[in-house]
Amino acid sequence: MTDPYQILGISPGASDDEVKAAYRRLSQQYHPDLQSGNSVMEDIANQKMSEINAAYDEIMNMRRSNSSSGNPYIEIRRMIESGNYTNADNALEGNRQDTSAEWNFLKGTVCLSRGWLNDAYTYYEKAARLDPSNREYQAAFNQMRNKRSGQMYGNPYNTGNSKQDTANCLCNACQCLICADCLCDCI
Amino acid sequence: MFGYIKPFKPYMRFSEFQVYNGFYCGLCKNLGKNYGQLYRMMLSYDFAFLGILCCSFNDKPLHFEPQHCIIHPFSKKLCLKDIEVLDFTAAAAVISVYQKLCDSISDTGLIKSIPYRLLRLLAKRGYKRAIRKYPDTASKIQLEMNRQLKLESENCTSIDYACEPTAQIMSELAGKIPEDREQSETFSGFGYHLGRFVYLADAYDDAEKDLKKNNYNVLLNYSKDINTAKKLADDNINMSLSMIAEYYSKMKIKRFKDIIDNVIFLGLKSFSMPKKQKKQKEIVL
Repeated sequence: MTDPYQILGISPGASDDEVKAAYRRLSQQYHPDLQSGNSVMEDIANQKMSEINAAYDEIMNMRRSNSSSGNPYIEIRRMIESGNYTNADNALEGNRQDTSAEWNFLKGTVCLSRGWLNDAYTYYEKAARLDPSNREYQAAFNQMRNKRSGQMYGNPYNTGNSKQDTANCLCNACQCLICADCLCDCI
Repeated sequence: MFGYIKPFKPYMRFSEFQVYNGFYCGLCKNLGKNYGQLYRMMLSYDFAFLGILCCSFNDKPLHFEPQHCIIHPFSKKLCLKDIEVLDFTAAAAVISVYQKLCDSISDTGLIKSIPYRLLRLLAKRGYKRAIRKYPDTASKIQLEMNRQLKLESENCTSIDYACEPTAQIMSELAGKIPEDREQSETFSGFGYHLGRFVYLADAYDDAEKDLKKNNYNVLLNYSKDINTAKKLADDNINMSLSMIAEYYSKMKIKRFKDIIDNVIFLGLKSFSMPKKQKKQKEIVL
């Protein structure tokens, strides 16, 4: 069977609105009523029209199942982004049997938002282990690992910090310059 | 569970130390004035920090004055004069201390709990006064304490669940400090992890004792080996400290920044020092 996207003349990455617009444009172009009087043209138009309808239905069905049962995580991600953690967690709990990296990652994110750091660490670790090639999971896990090793953001007492070393370095440079300047005055 | 939020004195400037003590004295006087002498004796340094946090958020002038008190009858100590700014902190201290008493009573046996029961009887009046002033906060704390009792009786095995009540109490207290909503949320988050830290630090300290006496301790539910349990607590404390620092960077602090820096980055971190070592001047980071 031919690619439904090809029939509508759009790319698979097109938005729902673009799909609808393409469908409307083509169905106006090939509408059998416009070809009335010419029986051959009418037949072709009818055939084309049924192809367009089938392609449109197929795309729409595909997209609907992706967002409901095929990949429920798009919706959950949206909930997390808008701060709706309770609903996101309920939806995740509904998919408990799922052990994919994505599930673990999202569960970890919900836990982190609630301050449940021990669980967040465990879930992130699992996500990173299940899918080592995913950069998002790795970044989240690394961040948690840094936290666990005692990193504190903005710690002014952190002497091992490279930033402070630079500051020290600059201070030394300034001191040298001032001393040199004093010497110049003496001479 | 008290006494974990404190400054690290060796790294404190003398003026900062005086301010810290001034807050403690002011709080003590406020308690004496509003809630009776008993609560003054049960005041811990943790609440001085809450007081400083309350005042760090605005820039109303504060007056400190050398004053006498019962503990220092001969030398005058610098004491915060505007004690009314500490009204909320004092009420929070009263409610927490009272709830802690109730907690101790339910933890100990009938005979051993008699002194606690007597204390509670004496403390009741002050507690009622605090409830009247801040009914929302009091009922929230009461609710969370009940939740903690329930979790303990159910022998809760999740670290995150076990920390939740203490964390929620601190979150409630800290969230009350700023008035605008956005900052209040940041303060709540800060308080949540501060509470989480306190609970874990307490569990860490009590691990050996609880193992011997077979008491409830969430860490021992993960591992009966004391070192594994402590490592787990350490990891979790580090994560919470990191979150505290993250929230702290978003808080719009107007003054006492050096003092709060000291408490957060040094004071909290030195929780695991044994009691004897605490007096030493050696820095362990």
